[in-house]
Amino acid sequence: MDSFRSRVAESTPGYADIAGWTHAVSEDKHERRWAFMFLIGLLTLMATAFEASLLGAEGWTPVNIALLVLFLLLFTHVAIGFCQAFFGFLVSIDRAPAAAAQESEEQEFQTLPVTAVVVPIFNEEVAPVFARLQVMHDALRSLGAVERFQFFVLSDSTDPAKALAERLAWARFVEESGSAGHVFYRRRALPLNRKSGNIADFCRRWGSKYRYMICLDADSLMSAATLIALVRRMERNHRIGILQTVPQAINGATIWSRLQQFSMSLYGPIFAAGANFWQQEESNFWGHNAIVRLAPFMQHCALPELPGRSAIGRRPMSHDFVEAALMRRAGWEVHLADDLRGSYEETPPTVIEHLKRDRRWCQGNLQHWPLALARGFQPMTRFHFLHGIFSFVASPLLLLVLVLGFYKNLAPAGESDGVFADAARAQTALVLFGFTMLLLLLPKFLALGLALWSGRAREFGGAAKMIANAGAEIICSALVAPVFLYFHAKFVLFSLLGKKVEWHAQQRGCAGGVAWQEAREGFGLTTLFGIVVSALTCWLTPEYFLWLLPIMLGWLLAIPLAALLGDRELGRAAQRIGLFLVPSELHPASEVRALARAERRHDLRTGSEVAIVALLDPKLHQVASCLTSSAASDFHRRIWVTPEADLPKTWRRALAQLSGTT
Amino acid sequence: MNHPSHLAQKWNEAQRRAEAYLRALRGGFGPGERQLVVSAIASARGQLQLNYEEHPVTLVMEALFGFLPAAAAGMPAMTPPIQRATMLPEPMEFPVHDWLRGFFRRVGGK
Repeated sequence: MDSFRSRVAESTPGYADIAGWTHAVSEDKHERRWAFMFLIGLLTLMATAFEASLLGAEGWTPVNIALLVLFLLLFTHVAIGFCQAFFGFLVSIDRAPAAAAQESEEQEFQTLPVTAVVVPIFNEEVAPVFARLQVMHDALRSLGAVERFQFFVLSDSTDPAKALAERLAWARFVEESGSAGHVFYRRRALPLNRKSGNIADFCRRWGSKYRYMICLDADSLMSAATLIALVRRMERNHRIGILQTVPQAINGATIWSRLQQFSMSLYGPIFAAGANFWQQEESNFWGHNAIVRLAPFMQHCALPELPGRSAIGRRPMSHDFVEAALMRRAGWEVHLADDLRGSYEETPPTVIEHLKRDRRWCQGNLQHWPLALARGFQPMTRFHFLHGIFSFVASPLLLLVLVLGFYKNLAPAGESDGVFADAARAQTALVLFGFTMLLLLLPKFLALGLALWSGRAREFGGAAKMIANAGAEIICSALVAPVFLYFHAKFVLFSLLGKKVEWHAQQRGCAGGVAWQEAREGFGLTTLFGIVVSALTCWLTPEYFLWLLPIMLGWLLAIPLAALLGDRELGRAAQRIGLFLVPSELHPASEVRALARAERRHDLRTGSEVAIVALLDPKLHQVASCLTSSAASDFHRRIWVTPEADLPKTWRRALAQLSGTT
Repeated sequence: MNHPSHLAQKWNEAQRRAEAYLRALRGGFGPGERQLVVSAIASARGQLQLNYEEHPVTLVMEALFGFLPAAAAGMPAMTPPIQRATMLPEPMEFPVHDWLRGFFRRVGGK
């Protein structure tokens, strides 16, 4: 490992092997971690003591012991989230905003190594993918740095129409932008091992040609300054194996995606700063919007087979966590560049799409449990694995707490009189509930306070609008949270039962809204579950019913919530009135503005009549002919040699369009 | 029998078709493309003596295809040359998992 690392350092002349980047590992790393763990321990201890006093008064029955253990686990999870935000808040108070712009001032790019920018795609909408590519390419060209980057669109598309459209879009892009030799397209005939297999295939074919690879998702966008800054930071610190940016959500067209991008913009920064505060060089990889040092990645980060039997296979689905873990095991650093702006992504437009993504993540994270106990990983790596697992397992555990609570209140008087029968204990329970809610909500208030204090509120449309939107966000999130609780619990159970998750293309951006019909199909059972639970608790344990009401409300309203939050018309209306307004809308960066223009242009070119255009357009046909049969070539000639009067109507119209537009 | 005005229309259509094709193919229409069209029409007129039933569009476009280089000649490379390297998983040990599996196997065996 050491010899390997020195070899990489030697091959980068002109850069001293020093941590020149300001966010290199700080001296007081251990103090930070102790402080972080101390606060978690203190908060958990206080809350657990309260809970123990409540339960202990009833006697230590097996149910009460189980409840205390569950409480301890769940509260620790809440405390970790709170502490991350709290320390992030403290760090952010002193921080100067945005780093990418300053780093791009130096205009000399010739010393930078040529970096591969890879965009794995799978049956995605083609126009937005190439629109993003165009924005990044044009931005790099305007800075004079385009020669230092080579783009790879790595397709795993199984839909032949999509594959054809991708190839045509690539051909047009290369032709119009004159980017032959900088922008490449590769499609795997057999998409083995999903996205991780796609990236590994790239590494095996071309990885040895590049020092770095910037991984993007189909919905990722990065400013030229950020792309360059990432390479520079890697060049300045040769110990970094992976440098992850914190992408901002953009282009939210439904209320649901707007709500997410508002939370990510307002609250996300303090959580990221908090994670960086204590994780330092042992941060995590999110699989996209990050730069990877290819030599160690190829040497150490090939995904292992996991032990045991699994319906979803023995290859890790959530490959990014595993790759970060393997990089760390080999002695390389994994950093979070939380101070770097100009990195963007899109969020699922509907609750259903969000849940589909969560279902994949859930199964992927649950697969990690053997890795959490495997030999050779650092404690922080084990924490990442366990935290990822627990973020989903928490839901069935919370449901179990609710069931046990219901059971306790159900028991005949005398055997267990329940917490709510005694006013003093009910008051203690209320205090504990308030304390938990405080820990859940305080991070949001801290982020709001920070935005007000730093003047960032202007970017959210002013203080009043930002506070009103934060209030609306809290209400919406609270209403939707029980739906996620229900589904996450279901996903965990499905995973434990070995049910397979299909890898479907995500509906990204503003591609579609959820119809009422779809909402009824998706959330009918959730609503039914809510009705049954409400009826049972109301009938059998009326006091407990009031405590459960906020959760049951979410289940009962699941259908209208999903339909309204995923409605594109309502999303547009929300945008018009400034609901969940974010900085990227009010003061969009140049790359975000350019994206809107590029999407419109690419949409015109790669519309639904792809096959017709491919067969007719001589330039595109050259590309398509590599993909299609010689019969297609004959057909292309036949159309062009046929007099207009003899052509079918479709081809006459297509020919007129082509002649008119060229 | 073709009326002369109809025939002129057909030749106009043939010329427009050839021009449209070259514009789409080359992204513009300059002297080079004009020369190609002229050559294709001249060749088509010669062919019309032999195939008088053919439409001028067919003859002009066939002639044009004959003048154009092979389709894939001007195509940029879709990928750079492959420089193959290995990427193999490193050994991984799962002591706890192995112990648990052995334990359950022993318990199950008893």
